[in-house]
Amino acid sequence: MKFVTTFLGYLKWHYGTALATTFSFWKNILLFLFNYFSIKNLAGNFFAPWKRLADNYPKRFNIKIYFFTFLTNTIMRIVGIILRTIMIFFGIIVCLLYILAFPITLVLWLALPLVIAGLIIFGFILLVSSK
Amino acid sequence: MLIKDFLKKSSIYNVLSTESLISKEFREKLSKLSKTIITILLLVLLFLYFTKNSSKYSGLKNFVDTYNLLQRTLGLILINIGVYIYSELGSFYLSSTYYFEKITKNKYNRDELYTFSAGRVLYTGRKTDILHGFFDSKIGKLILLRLGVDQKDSRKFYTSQKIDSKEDVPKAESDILKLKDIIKYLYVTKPSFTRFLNGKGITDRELFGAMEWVIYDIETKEYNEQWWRPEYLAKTKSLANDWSFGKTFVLDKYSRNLMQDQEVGSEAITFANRDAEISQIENALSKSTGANAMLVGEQGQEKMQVVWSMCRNIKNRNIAPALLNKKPILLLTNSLISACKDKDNLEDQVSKIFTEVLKAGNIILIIDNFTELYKHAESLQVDFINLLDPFIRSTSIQVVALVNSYDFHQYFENNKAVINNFETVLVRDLDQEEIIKIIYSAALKSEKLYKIFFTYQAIQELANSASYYFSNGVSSDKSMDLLDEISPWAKKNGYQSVGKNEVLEYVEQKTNIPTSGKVSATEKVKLLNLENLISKRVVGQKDAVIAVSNALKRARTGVRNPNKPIGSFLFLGPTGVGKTETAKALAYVFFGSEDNMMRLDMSEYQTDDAMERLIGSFVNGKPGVFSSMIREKQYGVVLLDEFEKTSKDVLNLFLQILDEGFFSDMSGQKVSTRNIIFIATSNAGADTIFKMVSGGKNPKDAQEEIIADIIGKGLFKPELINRFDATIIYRPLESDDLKQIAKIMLNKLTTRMVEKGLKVEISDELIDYVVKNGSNEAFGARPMNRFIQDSIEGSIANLILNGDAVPGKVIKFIIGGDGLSAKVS
Repeated sequence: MKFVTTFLGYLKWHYGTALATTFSFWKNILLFLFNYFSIKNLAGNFFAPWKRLADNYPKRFNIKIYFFTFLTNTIMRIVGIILRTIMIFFGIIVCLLYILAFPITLVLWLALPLVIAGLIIFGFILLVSSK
Repeated sequence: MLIKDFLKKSSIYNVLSTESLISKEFREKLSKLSKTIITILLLVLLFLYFTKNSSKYSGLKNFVDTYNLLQRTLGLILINIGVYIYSELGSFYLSSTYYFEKITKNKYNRDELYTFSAGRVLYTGRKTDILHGFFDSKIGKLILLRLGVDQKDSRKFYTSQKIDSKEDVPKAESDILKLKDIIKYLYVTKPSFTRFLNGKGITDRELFGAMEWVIYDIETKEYNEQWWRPEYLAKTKSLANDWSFGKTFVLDKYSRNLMQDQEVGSEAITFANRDAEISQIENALSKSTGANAMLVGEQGQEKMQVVWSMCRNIKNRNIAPALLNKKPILLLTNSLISACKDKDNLEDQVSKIFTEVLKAGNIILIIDNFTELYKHAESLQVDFINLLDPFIRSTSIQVVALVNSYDFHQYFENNKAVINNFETVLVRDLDQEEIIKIIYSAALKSEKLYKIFFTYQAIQELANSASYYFSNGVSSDKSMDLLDEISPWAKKNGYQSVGKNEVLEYVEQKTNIPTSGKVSATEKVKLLNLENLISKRVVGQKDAVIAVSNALKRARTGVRNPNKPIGSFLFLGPTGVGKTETAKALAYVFFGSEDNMMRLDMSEYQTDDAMERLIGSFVNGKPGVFSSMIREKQYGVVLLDEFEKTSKDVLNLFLQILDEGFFSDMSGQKVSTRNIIFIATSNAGADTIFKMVSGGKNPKDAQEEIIADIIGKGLFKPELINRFDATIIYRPLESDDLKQIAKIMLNKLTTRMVEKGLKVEISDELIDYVVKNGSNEAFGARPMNRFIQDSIEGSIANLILNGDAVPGKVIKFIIGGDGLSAKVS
């Protein structure tokens, strides 16, 4: 009797409380991925030079130094833009895959008690059957 | 409401019920076992599969086919996968429903009626009663174990208790029933339970403390399993947050990223609650300009602990926006100092470091030992604060400087440039309870490492002893150091369980100060006979002997105030009446040797430099006589001779020493005098005492009059006299007392002579003669020793030199008309 009530209590949690909190659980992981790939931060500093490796322009105007500084800074910005684009792209892909995987996870969660039972029963059948 | 009905009203009931069917430990073992079996079976499956498809092992292939091994292995794998998923799901079920009452802010729902810990006790006792539930539950057993209660004893106790099956659920103090409520209920309403604990020397404070520790341990483990929490996920470092910030090549040479410190990463290391200090730092670092903070606290790790706590908050993204995504970098002051030995180099490196920090844009620069860097710069003629000025005024730099309180008052408090650009944040001292909480996690770690067990009383004693027996540094640091030292010591000495007594034993070994943990049998006899033992040397001063003896008894039984010296006495009276002798006798009888009496002739400390000579000089860094003396011998008697003759400043210093049991030396380091007996002697009031005695009055009865007279003469302030535990009036010695003293002194001489094989006969006439010639009204018995030396010892010396006094001979003294003469027979 105790086993049955306990099991029913578990099912209540599995299809009740746990299911209700699945979305916030899913949201936590999505936010984590978003932060993990630093998408917001990278987008905010999209045009900044790579690791702020930029020279200061000369105080007194000198066309040659000015030109080289401009060139270096532009290269650093371009390097920054390329690497950020790659990282943002990967980040978004992972996030999208995660979003798409949500319904599958949900179905899996709903079926999990049956999956456990199925695995054990099927396992036993394989174990005992002769062919 | 009955326990069973109450339990069922909450959703936790199901979880508790599941836990009772399959315990967490069993499930964890199941999970590990099934994982291992799956791995092995997968390898077997692969092996069988290749065997089946290979023509090489036809015999084996037939065997596999006959017994259908491939299919059966697969079956076993599937069963184990099922078991593994089941056990993991079970853990997830328990973890996700678990909420915390100690380590985080309450996470429970409003509809919960009790916490997990309370539920576990109630569930165990649902068929018996709460008392049985407590003793029988795993959490109750753990608490009792932490209190050092033997399991057999507790079993014997609770099985003898009657079961109250109709017991109502105790009332909760808040909206939810906690374990604390249950234990409080048991302690208040079950006298047998209280008697059982008290009989084992356990107080209610210790009971609740042990409970807290056990809950803390359970909850920390549970919390670390909840990987899906946002704050847990936030701990993982982002892949590319650094990309938008600058590189710091020069700074990297002299710094360390605090985010990589174990203290930041591991939740198992606990710190005291530093929310107030962190919030002040947040405010300071969020300012638009001069966003810097100066963290001021006692010497030790507490300032760094505040910084680590702040770093944890940054890691958990639980911090003000101005600090979010910032990298706290610790400037290693010592390596910068050793690398920059000249002015130009230091200026250059410091400028480069700060320029890099400014450019990087995501750095909070933490400067430990800020004063050292400042002092080094000043010694190289670098105007350090001026050098930093443009940076620390800037809008995009955040600096946290760590400074000791003493240095802060000495160097920075009155420096406008510092005060304007650094917000001062004071690190508050932790109280005993907070220190105990810090030790919780460290003790658990030590237990694992050394395979020993700490009782709660041991943890409590670690915190107590650290502040009581070790004066330098911050209490929390000292407690942790003590814990680090005691664990290997306990292991080495074969202690599996470390309790209060083991801690005290270690402290006693380390400091040579007898702790009140154990009073040995010989010591007990000594303490009980202390008055008699001292009276053998101190004659005619019964009151003084009693007062001093009582102080020692209080100290060794732990009754005394631990925040004051063991005892402090002001002995008033004429010269030669036994004041110094009392101090010597005390040092000899109790502390084992007269060497344990430290003497300061206070008449030598009358001039303006008296304080400097006693506690050291800040200017030349020379240590003081008094501070060095106490540091060398933390436990003993300090005799302050002619106390009234010292300077007013010194008298004021003793106001603090007698009241608080410590003083600060020239470098601001605390020196503890809590294990010292102070005896201040003074001749002040001797005239009044003489007058009273000649008028037939007992000076003891006129103590107030004598003290009033001394105060009236301006020799001591009334507040100083009141700080002493007792002011004792030594009366002038009467002829009987003097006779006894003469006898004691002559007996000492006899003993010395016996060692040389000579016998000295002491007659009553000789004693009278010594009293008559060796004492006077003004100096009491003081001249007696000199007289014995000159006349008696001198005569014996002559006899030895003449060859008359050889071993086996007896020396007699005859008093004639022309004085004393010695004869050998």
